[in-house]
Amino acid sequence: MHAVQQHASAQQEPVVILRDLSKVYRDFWRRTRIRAVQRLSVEVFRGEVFGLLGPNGSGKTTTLKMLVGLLHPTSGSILILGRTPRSAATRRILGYLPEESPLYPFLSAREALDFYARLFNLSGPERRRRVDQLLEMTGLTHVADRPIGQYSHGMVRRVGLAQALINDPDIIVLDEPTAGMDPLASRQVKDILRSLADQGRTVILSSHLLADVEDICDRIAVLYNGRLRAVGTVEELLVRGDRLIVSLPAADADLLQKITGEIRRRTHREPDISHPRRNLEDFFLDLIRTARDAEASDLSGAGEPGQVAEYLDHYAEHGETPPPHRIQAEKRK
Amino acid sequence: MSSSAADRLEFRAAAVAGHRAARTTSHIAAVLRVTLLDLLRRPIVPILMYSLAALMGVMPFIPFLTLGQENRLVRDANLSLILMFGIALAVYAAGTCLYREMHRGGGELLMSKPISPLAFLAAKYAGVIVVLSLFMLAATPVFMVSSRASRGLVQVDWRLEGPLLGGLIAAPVLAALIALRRRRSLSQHAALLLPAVGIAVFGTTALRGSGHPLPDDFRTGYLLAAAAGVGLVLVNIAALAMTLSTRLSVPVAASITVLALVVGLCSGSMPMDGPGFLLNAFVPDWMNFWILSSVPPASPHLAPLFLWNLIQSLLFASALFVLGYLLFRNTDIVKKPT
Repeated sequence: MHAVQQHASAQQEPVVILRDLSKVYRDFWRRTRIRAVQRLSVEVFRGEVFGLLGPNGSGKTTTLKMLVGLLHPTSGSILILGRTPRSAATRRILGYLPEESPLYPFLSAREALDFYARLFNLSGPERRRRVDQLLEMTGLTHVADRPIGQYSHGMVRRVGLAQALINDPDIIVLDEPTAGMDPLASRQVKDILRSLADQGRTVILSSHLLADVEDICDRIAVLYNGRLRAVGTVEELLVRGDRLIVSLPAADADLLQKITGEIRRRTHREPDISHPRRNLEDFFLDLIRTARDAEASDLSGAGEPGQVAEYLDHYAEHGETPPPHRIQAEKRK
Repeated sequence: MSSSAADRLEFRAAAVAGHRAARTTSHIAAVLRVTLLDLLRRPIVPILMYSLAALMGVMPFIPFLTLGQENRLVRDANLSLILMFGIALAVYAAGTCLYREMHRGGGELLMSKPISPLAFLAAKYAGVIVVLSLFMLAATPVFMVSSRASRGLVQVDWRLEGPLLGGLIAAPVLAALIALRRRRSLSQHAALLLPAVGIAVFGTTALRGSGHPLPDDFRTGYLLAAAAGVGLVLVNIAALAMTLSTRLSVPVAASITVLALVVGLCSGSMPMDGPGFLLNAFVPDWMNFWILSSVPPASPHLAPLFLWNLIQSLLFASALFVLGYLLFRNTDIVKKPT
């Protein structure tokens, strides 16, 4: 079951609020060059996977960059748990994966993760523990000491994802998280994100891969030319109430004729009859799993990602239990 | 708003509030380290360092070729070489390290973490200053050994020059071997090894002496003061290039820096009234630093002049840093061509 249902009560309270957000890029002479985002208003709730969908140049990346404080809005406001994105306190609870994973190529994955962990002032033992768990989670343990410059694009993306989770973030912002990954790695990343959301974290991602967004997002906002064109749950946006699909076991021609005849008689319309199809991703993943089970392969690149890191798994337990002072304050009210 | 998430935010903010200075220091140290590694891995850094050292290494042969009357010319030519190569390094390192990081590199990730713009900028300035210090640490011993060796007049003093040339060859070979074994960047090891080898060569040769009586203007303290004066010019040039690069692209920042250098060189010869006064107030006369090598060694003005240069340099660099911070703190971190 999706987090949107599990955390129904918590969802009524937005953790991220965008109000009339606009961003205009100007040239050296302050003339308007591009209106990247125009009067965007959206709320994102705790524990949901929220997708920004749109073609190239629609304002997805600009919106995400304003959300993490890398860009200043031209007008409008952003509140993350009641604070601005530029505040250090907000950044402590944010994890961000940019579109191109700009990691230092001369550092190894272990050194890079340790470096980002230092920026959160984690102690030495805590840093080592988290780095090891995230390397295991992303399947990079056996290449952890190689410089990132020698990694494939997909492996770099995995390091990027690991650094976004190094601080045990409450809100994870990901720009094209599965870009450049093979279908297997892409599926695993989507599973990780889904499980993080199920633990109560908020995931905001952008993508132009429609299947990815449909696969894991609870709600979607569609942008075009910087403007919001549609927002809602996947069900709300995609379900066609005027059509119905009935799935049957394979039927002989006689039975099929009777069924279609009955439908025609009652609705005065011609029904569509076809065999259901798997999508290409499912077919590919099945094929690879079968092949992998049949022969043990010697992987030279990234390995199989493991489970969500232990410290990330424990979030739900800690995160959903308000501390005593908060409970007492509520009681006093 | 979700109470649990808000509590976590407040808890984390409270947990680190008491250690602000320690946190900032730790951030600066972490970013300084990667800045340094990033700069040192670029081949241009050791190329500049080694070319300079090699040129200064052969400088003592000039008196040999010109019947031995130009030993003083060797010293001044060495200082000029340090200044020219140093300016190239300072403009390149300072102009690119911040701008590329902000608009092409890891700045996007870095600035999404809880690091303040001030700490980030301070680490970048410090990184460039450390690279320039390494450059000066490599150049100064070579400059001193080379200048003193030229005192051998017609004959080159091989007791000084021999270990120097040997060291210059040994340093890159050793760096290559280490890089081969560690499978890491040759440039980083080469850039770090040359200063170490230079200092070792200077230590051994200086202890042994040159074998010739040295006039005052070839004594260690005097040569050191002249080299330090050039080092101060480089720090100022780097600060100017880095401050400009907070808003301007690399070619524009580099061009304006070079223009400021030329204006500064001219400002000394301008009258101190009207525009000349303003120019002298805002752009340092880079020749002031240079004058150190022209003051007679026994002059009582040497120490005060050096102190004045030091103060002027620090003030100029500090003002540029503050200006850089004001320009940088509200900059959009967005992809731009470099």
